[in-house]
Amino acid sequence: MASPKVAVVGAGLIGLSTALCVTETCPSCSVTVLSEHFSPNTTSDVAAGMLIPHTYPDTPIHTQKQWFKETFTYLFAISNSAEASEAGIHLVSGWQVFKSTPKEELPFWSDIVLGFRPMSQAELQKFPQHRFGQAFTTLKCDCPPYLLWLEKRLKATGAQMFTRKVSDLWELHSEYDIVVNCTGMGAHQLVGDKKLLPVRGQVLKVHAPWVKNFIRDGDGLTYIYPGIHWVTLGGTREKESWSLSPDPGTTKDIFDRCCSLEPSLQGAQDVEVKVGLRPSRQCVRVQREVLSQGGVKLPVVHNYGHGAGGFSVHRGTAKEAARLVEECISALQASSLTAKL
Amino acid sequence: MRVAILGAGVIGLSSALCIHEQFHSLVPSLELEVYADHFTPHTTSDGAAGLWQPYLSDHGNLQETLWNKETFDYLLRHLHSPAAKEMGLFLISGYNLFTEPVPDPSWRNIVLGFRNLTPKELELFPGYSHGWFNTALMLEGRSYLPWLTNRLTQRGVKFFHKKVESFQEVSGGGVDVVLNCTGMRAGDLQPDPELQPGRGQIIKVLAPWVKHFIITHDLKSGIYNSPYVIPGSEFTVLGGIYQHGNWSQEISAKDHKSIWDSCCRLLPALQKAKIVGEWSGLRPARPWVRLERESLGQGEVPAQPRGWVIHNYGHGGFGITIHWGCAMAAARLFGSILQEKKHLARPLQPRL
Repeated sequence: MASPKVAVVGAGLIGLSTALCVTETCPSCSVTVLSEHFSPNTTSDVAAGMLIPHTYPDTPIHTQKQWFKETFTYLFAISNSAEASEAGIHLVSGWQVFKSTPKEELPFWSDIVLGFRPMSQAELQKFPQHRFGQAFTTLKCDCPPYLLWLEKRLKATGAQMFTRKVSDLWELHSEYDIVVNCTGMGAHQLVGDKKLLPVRGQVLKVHAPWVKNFIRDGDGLTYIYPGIHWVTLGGTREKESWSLSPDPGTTKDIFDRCCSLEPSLQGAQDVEVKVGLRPSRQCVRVQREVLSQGGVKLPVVHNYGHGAGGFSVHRGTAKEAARLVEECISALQASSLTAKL
Repeated sequence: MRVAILGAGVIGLSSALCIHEQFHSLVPSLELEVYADHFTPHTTSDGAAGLWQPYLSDHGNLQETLWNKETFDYLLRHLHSPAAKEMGLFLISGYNLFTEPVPDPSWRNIVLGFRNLTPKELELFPGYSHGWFNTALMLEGRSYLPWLTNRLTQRGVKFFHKKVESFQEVSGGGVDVVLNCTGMRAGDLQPDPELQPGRGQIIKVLAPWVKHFIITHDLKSGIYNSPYVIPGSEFTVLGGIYQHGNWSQEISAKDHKSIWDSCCRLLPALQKAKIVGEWSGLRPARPWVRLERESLGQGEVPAQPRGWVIHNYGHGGFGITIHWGCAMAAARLFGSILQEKKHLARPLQPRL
């Protein structure tokens, strides 16, 4: 197989980063990204892009830690380079505060982020309703810039991108040798994964350039994440809600909760409301599969179900998916040899 | 009772406000007047980035360390007030970088969350082997000075656009106390060889992805002669120039190149930042701040001077950092003058 043809379905963070990893591990591959939506209309564009991991109940912790470490290291290098502003990657420091001391005072990722330590009493005074906190420095990936930068890197490798809604993976079997499924929430329909469910998140993007530190309530529901041009205020975690329409009552509630953490937000301007459906699963599905229909085989690599933690582990899962693509190629080459014999 | 404040930078305006807040109800006849040749946005205070941070060493000057602390605590109390945004006040975290180990600064317990940098953090800054991380405050002159001006105007304080040439010029017209907050120009009113310019130059850029201040130190070159990056609410300030004895306020192309090259080496992404302005100013440098009162010669009544001057100048590159502590000290000196003049119906409560 001289030049395996790989189709990556989905052009959010996972699709683009996986496609890029495939071009890196398999330079002879021809990679095409097919997606109904591209930035700025993907779920990834709604997210703040903070590198603070979400814990998946059914993925081993050492795997999640490995994925996070790979992602953090990769982005750390970009943030330190001349490309940082174009890629939308920047360091941000801040606090995670808890109303009551959490069971786990040291999360699994505490030694990967920078300068992790408990907050001092003086620092906690800023948060009278909270009794415990953690201070650290982490990275943020601003979207659209990061997605556009990934698209640019992909184009430079010769990969192509097309707007196309794929309704059935079998549509692709005649044009492509391997399909990589990075469809996020779309996988619910596309591959019939009923274990994949939306967790609706509504956020506000506001202009408040004096906010330089992030603040996150340990319950994960209220957060203030300063990005390059706007601050993301959140949020909600509504299980199994499929609605993409902003809810005005929710907007007010988010704003009030964030103002109680950071009163100066009262002066924030230009509020934009966005909604995204976190493609949530008990474990991220990074898995190889060979679909079979009427004697025809279609190798598929799945990489979806990152829920609330896509940014934090994207590079790690992309690399693992690219390894699985390599395995598919080896298997195809082995079977085509067998066929020749 | 008329009080003339000379100078409308951060020192003049905050001293005026502090005095008015404390004494206007005790002295019904109190009238404050501010005289200055430059008002915001043309003062030295407007050019400063606005970061609260004292020098590395206080040279044993505990008084100044106390004033710095008073200022920080005062500002921190205002952080959650509705006025904070209008004042240009917000929290900011960041890095101080060194090429060798240094003792902890006098202000380590004043700021929030002071700690040493971890080895991984130092990877961000090749060439630097030690450093600190802490959370401090920004108080942007461009916002704070107009806010102070509004507060003063509301209180009936009058402003005069005038370069005063001598203390007598104002004291002769019936002013009882003069506050000398003239910064770099104090020498024009009364020679002071200790007061020297510490010339600075900065480049203003758009780099909104920078969320931390980064101040490097070269112990051999001295304070502020090593690159620094300070992100504000509208633009980021790049600097690293401190020239003692240089009176020029012209932009130097050589200094511009030095700032640009050294800051881009520190933060490579700055190469893509758009330059939106430049500025040069003179830090009013002095071995220590001059904060004391002086009588203005004999008056008609024996043992009662014609008037008083309260000097409050020489804050170098830490004017914003120390301003409120100094304003309070100036107000105490004012109170002592009042007590002597027996302007009050009852004695003042002693202030600690």
